[in-house]
Amino acid sequence: MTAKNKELIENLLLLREAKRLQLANFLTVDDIHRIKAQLPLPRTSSKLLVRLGFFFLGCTLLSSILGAVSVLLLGNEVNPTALLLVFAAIAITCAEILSHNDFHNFGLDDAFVLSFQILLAGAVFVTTESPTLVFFMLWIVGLACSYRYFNTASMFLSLMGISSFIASVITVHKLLHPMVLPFLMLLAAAMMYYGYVRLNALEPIRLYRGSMRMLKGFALVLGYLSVNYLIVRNLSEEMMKIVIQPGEDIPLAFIFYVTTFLIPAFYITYGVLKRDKIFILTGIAALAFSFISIRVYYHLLPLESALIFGGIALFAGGYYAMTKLRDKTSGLTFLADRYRDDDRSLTEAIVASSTLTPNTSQAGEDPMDFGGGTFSGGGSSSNY
Amino acid sequence: MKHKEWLAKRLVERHLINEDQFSKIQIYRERRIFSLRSELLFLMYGGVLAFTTGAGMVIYNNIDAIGHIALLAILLCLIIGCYFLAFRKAKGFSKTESEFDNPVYDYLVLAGSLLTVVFFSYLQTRFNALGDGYNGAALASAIVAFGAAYYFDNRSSYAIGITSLAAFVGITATPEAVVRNEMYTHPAQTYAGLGLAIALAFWYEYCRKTRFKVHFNSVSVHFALHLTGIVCLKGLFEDLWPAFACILAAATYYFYLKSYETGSTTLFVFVMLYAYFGLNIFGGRFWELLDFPLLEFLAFVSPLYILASIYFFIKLTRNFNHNINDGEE
Repeated sequence: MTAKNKELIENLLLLREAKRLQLANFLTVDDIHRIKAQLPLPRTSSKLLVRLGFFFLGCTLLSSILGAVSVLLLGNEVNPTALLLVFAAIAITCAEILSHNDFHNFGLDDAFVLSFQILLAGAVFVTTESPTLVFFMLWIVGLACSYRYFNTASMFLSLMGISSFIASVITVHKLLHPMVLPFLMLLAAAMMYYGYVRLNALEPIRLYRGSMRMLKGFALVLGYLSVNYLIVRNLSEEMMKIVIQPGEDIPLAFIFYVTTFLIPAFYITYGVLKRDKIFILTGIAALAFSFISIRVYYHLLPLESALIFGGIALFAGGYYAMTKLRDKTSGLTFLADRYRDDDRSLTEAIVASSTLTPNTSQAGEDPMDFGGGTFSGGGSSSNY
Repeated sequence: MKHKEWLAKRLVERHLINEDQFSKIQIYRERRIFSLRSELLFLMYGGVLAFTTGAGMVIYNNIDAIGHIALLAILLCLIIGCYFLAFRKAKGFSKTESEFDNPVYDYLVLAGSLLTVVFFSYLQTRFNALGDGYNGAALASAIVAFGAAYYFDNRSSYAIGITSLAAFVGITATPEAVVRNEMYTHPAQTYAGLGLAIALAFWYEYCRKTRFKVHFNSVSVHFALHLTGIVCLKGLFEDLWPAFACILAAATYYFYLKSYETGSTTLFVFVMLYAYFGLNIFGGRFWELLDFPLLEFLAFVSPLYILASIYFFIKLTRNFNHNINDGEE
């Protein structure tokens, strides 16, 4: 029931692994050339930026086709649901054609698969006007697309669908008391992670590498956010119409204070012990967000002092860990990662240049906030 | 079984690697080596950025409250401290790549350069020490940052130097300013921007020929491309648009060659992006001139046009990947 040739997808995974092993000096460049010659491969964009470019072109193509169809229908009475369904059918047809021509993660195919789901969601919303149903549909269709087209972004839509579906069942349809929602979401995250562990052990699922990583990362982020103090407080103010006076707090506040810091700490510790980068990175980002969350309500320090002391603490912590790990040659280490050839310093150079620059048209500094997105993945920086 | 182990097993099963290679991989895996290098460096980098941003904010907020001389003195001490510590460990100037034994010093140099920018901006705000406006301060920051970049072999400082130089000619060359369309306001700055881009391109060529700090070249060529691209796209909306179209065409050709020369995919993609946007804006302006109001015609032709451009881009990308030997097709 998959639209793509599984063998080609496995070949691509194998070639990428071989390239990684070559970076780590287990294989030679000649090995790579030999392997590449032996494996038929799908048409793919190996670089994220190229893929984004083709994604953009694919979206433009689809919207121009839809524009042409709309011009054709101009002047006729058209049922909006039917029109959206026709659009969705066009998108899925394009996706099928590309998939049967061995396009895989090329950018174009992603554009059509995602547009299909969004157009379909639009059709459902226009007909039923029920967000709950839209979320339910996104969950199911996203899962189907991620299965049929090996598409990671569809997995993301599907997971967003299911979590929004749960939230919507509780808040809009009042199935349970809203106070249960954080714990229910935590449970959902735990089940997602359990699902990841079980699925990951299955042989045919190996080909869904991207979707599986998405599932794992999403479970971790959802698990953290569902019991984050800032999120819980905002949502309970909004949903239960609680007005929190100074000196008061949300129900069960203590639990959420603890979980806000306990979960990132657990992620980082577990990640270091189990050698798991996704855990470590999520943990670091979550911890940073925890500090921001608490700062919103408790101004223990003015922002600039917080930045200065936080900066010193980060630097000192990093430096301390570095000196501890520097000379170790097994287990945890500070040695360069054998499997990576990324060029961090160029990204760093660009980010650094945008934080503080003398601005000739305005007085003073204009410190730009440096969101984690710029240098987290390392995916876009490894192009050099 | 972990995913990587499964992949290695599959590689053997399909006879793509031999048993010997496989067992070496297994032995290495059993040592459970796990590098935290990039995470820790990232923490330190975040620390430096947070600290310098905080320092900048302290000064900005207290610009009239605490003693200026005292603040300036503290800043100067910090800058000298950073550079001095790095200087003691530096291997001295070299025309090629040279690294500190301990990467922490790279971050000290970065902190020094960022604080230098703060220092000069502050000096200028308070005392107008370097002439009217901020140009003097920007130039001074640029000189110090370039000095640090070349002496300590620090690419971050080099990028700070270029942005300061851009600020000197009146352009805010940060990604944020580009997004907000606030790079420059005065029309004359268009030519300043182009001039700077050309200067950077010449510097790039010079460094390449003389093998001088070649690893800085990717920074120079990227800044040159973005400056030219943005100036030209902005120019296409102005009265002199045919001139900018010509400049963009020439620049596209030049940077297209450079992307092959450097093998940088990022450069290649951005060249294509600027060229394609430029072409479409150019087409739009041309259409305006023709006074040819057949919107329906356009609606039917545009899918074909986009299809043709996709075909063309696939060809170009395949060529490029083939050339840098990174094709996965």
